[in-house]
Amino acid sequence: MATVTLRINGANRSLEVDGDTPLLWALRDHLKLTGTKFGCGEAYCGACTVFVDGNPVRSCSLPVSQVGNGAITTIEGISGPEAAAVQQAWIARDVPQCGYCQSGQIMSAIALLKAIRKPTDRGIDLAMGGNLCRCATYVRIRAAIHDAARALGG
Amino acid sequence: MLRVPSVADMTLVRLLLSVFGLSACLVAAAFGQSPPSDAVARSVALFREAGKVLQHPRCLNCHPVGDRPTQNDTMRPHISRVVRGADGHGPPGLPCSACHHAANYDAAHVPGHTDWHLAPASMAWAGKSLGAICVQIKDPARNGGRDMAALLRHVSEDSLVGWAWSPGAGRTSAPGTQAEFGAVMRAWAESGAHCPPE
Amino acid sequence: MVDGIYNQSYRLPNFLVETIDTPLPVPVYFMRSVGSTAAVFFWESFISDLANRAGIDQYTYRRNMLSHDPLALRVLDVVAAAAHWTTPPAPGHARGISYNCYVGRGGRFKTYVAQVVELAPDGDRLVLKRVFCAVDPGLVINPNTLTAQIEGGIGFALTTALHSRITFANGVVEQSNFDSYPLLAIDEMPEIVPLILPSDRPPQGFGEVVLAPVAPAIAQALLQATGRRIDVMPLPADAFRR
Ligand code: FES
Ligand code: FES
Repeated sequence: MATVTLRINGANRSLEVDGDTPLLWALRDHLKLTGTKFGCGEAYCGACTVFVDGNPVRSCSLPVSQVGNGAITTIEGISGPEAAAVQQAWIARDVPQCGYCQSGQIMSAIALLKAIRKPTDRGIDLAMGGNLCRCATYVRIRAAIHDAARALGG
Repeated sequence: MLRVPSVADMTLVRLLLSVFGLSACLVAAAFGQSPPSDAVARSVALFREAGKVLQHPRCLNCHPVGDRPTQNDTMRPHISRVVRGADGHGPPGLPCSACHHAANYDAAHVPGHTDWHLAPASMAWAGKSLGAICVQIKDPARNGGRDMAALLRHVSEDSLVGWAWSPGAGRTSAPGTQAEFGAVMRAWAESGAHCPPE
Repeated sequence: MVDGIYNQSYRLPNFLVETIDTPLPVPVYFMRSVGSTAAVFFWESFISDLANRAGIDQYTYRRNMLSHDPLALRVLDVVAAAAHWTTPPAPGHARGISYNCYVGRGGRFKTYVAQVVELAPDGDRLVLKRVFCAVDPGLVINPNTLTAQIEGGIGFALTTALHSRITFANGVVEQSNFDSYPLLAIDEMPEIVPLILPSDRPPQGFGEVVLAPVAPAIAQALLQATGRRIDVMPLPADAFRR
């Protein structure tokens, strides 16, 4: 056990954890930031996606010891034009069904729109290929990303 | 034909290398075979030895033919469904670094390295014959623009190549060590860098 | 086990369903669509076989056996028209049509479903391009939710049809995570064309009804395209090789 300080959603948060603890557990169990979901624990599903220094990261496959000074953003802390556009598009399209995968879907969609202003269907498939949805909301995910890109002027 | 020792026993490789350093005749004595007919056979044998590494799943998985890497010793398609992207670091929005961090993380069974990425498409090896890989690996147009010296440095010093010998729990390591692999490749280069038939 | 078969709606003058209880060494329980995903795959594939034996077009064959049921004919006709069934598919492409009347809650609801799946060539493989899905679920109160159920239900069915294989070794399940038990991914999701028919009937059930016809329609299309008849789920990956 060690005291680890993480920069999460703009604030410093200290917690007592083993350095080998997945960031996901630190977020969910220690800091009660439960918007980030556990789906597989082995980087297969994307449900646990957060940003570290703005880059999408599977928090299940990142031990807290490797986070360092990285600034973590969880679904609770997203902001900026891409986040707003994605949230609006998700609401307008009624994307979620059970909702379990959707935090990760939204994080990946934001990451995609930061990387490409106007993704094609293929670009969406490639970027979102690591985010599984058991409810298969994929049709609407694709449509909502196109909507968000349009709203961003892409 | 020269008999090649099993790469599973790298001490034999070391023996082979040191013996080559002395005399080809001693090799024949060591392995009880007729002497190698020429330097070409010896060179080819060395490359076959290196091939045990080059064609190991630890290497082939990230030298895929096509856009999607493979995984595990079974070399099944990579899950998640990531592709190489423009620079081998994954497509926009799903970089390799989303899952692969600075070091192996056994708790999540995810391997890691600070520069985790795929070999360029021009360096695709999976499914190819060793002879084809050999011709390819010497061709600067298909080996990342490397001359032989740079190629030898790459295989013996590059730390992502070196990951193949410390791949984390649950993955078989490439045979031998990176230093031994580098030595075999060097001996092959010095013997004329001849290739097995394609 | 025989959901969707014992209560199937084709007009068959001589029809008998018998079942035998087989004790299974593993516990089984409901999944989405209950028994119909497995049973209707075999049942609709059997109907496809009969049509092929008779040398009659799959749509026409089903139509002939449903002529007593105008609601069944309606979903079939609507889906066939939307998919331009009577126009042959482009070279290298293939289609399958399937039908099911989902009788749920012990006969308390009846939802009619007909689907056309389109396979298109992609390199050396056939991939799922588009699924037309006509439904008559009675009065629709929230078409948005219903459309979501059509899209998601077909996607869920595709996971079952293409991926969900469980195997046992030494008494334990061999699959442990999404690497060995994959879910449908976004690039595998076809375009969905929902066709929701107006109805005066009271609202019927819907959450599970679109799943069952998916696999048999794909199998029918694969048979047409490759000559290989598939009678297992998940459909083997190599069945999609051209
Ligand atoms: S929980 Fe991290 S990728 Fe599935
Ligand atoms: S909305 Fe249910 S898993 Fe994606």
